[in-house]
Amino acid sequence: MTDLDPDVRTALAGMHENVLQRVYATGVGLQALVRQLPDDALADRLRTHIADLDVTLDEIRATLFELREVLTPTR
Amino acid sequence: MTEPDASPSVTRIFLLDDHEIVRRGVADLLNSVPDFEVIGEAGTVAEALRRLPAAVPDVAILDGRLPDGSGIEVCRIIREQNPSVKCLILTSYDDDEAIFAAVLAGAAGYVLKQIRGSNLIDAVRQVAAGQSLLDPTVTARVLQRIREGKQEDARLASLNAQERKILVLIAEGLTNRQIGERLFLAEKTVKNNVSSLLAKLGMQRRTQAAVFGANLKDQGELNEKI
Repeated sequence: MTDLDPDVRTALAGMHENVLQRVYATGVGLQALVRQLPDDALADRLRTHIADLDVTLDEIRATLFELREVLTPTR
Repeated sequence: MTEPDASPSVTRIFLLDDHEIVRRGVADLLNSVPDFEVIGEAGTVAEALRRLPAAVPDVAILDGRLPDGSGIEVCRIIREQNPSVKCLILTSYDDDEAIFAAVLAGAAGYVLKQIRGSNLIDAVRQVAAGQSLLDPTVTARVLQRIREGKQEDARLASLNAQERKILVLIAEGLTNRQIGERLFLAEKTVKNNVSSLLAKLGMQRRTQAAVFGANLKDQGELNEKI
């Protein structure tokens, strides 16, 4: 990852940032749905999927962290 | 997941995030809580500074990183105008620098963009009740950093003029090649200078020097003309 061209890193970081925001937004939207589901069994199944999304978020975050050196100075 | 009966007082919430989809998701979640109400939104710092003061929320949820600045800036400005607004910084990753800045800006809490549990709901509830989400270890770390700041001067003094210029450019995120172009030096010379600079500062990694340099610049202690 450290050998990548800075422009490529910036592009990758931007892409990861966008994906992270979308996954987070989707997860939070589903969390809202869980709270309104009358069926506990369905709610539990939905919670399992949400937990999977959270694992995905952590993975994206870890990659972003490595790419971040490029992202930070442009803030 | 059962909520206690809606209390008579509603917590009024303002959202600042540049991703519309995130604002929609978060608003959905918060509006599903009986005593929460999202009363306003913004996608940029400029928009937030226009809308927030008039909205008078109890809690402002501010994205750390925005196209025209940061939620931390917004927190500082809003709290100068109205200290009763509680600010919660919502961020993509937990980095020490941002937490440090958030504490200094008077934020009541710092929340990572994670879905699990009812993370965000709990955070809003606690902050609205006047509690700080910044645990004592975070606050202690901030104080530690302020103390270390005093020692940073001595380390900076150990650098020669060229190394200081290079430190400024490292802090701006430039590569050795870019630094060479800016200072009219061979890339190899820059590389050697960076090595000696890191050795003098007692650091192993370039990112450590970048953070160190950026902090000194923010404090106005590193102002080399290039």
